[in-house]
Amino acid sequence: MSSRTEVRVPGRPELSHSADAVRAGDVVFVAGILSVDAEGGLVGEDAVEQTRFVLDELGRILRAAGCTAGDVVKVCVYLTDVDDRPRINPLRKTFFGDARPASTLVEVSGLAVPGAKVEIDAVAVVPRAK
Amino acid sequence: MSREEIRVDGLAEPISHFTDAVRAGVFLYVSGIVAVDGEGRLVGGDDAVAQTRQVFDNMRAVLRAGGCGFEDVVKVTLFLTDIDDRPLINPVRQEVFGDTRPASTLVEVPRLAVPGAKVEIECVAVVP
Repeated sequence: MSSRTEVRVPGRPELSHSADAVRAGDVVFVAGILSVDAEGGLVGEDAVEQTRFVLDELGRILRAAGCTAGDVVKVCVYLTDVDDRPRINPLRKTFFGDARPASTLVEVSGLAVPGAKVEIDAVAVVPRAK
Repeated sequence: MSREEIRVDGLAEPISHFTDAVRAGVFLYVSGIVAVDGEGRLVGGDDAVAQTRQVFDNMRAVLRAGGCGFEDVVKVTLFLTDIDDRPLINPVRQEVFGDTRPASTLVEVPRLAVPGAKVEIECVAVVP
């Protein structure tokens, strides 16, 4: 149950001392995702473009850990401008579909990469094999 | 699932309505930690690196009280008042965690609860 497995996804940047996700038992903790490419370069100018990239990456990381968007139980969204919230909300709807994770969203004064406007982390539960 | 609140002898009294950590099943949820001593006084002055060392010292005590070590941490969230401190404190993180890489989130916030605090870190660990 309490096994601890670090998940690394090809093409993900290495910004700090972090794994892309860590799975412990059936629970997957996904690191905060920024809209940056493998070399750490910013992807997307505005919050919508960046969020699209971040959610794509979240999907890749979840799949690598044995989950999908519907398995997310908690998501934290950090925005540098809280007014971007309504603009990125449609992307969240598309990504999560019928699933509604518990969610926290706050504005922060800065993110690790200059120009980054959004960071998202998540907790998911791996579905039981049927 | 069991739920056990953990208070660590020698650490400052929590400044709000919370405890140092809560263990639920195999998971240990550790509260946000700032660089204070046992009396709640800020340690490290305005040096983010010194503060980070104190934070991890306190975190080590909390993890140990919960039956864990840094190698059991699965998620860490760092709140910095100056994002430019990130590269400065990264070596401390590498030193503390060694070969272990928790999933990590790091953001800059305008202020923290304790005046002068430049870094707050919370984590989740899995009890071995």
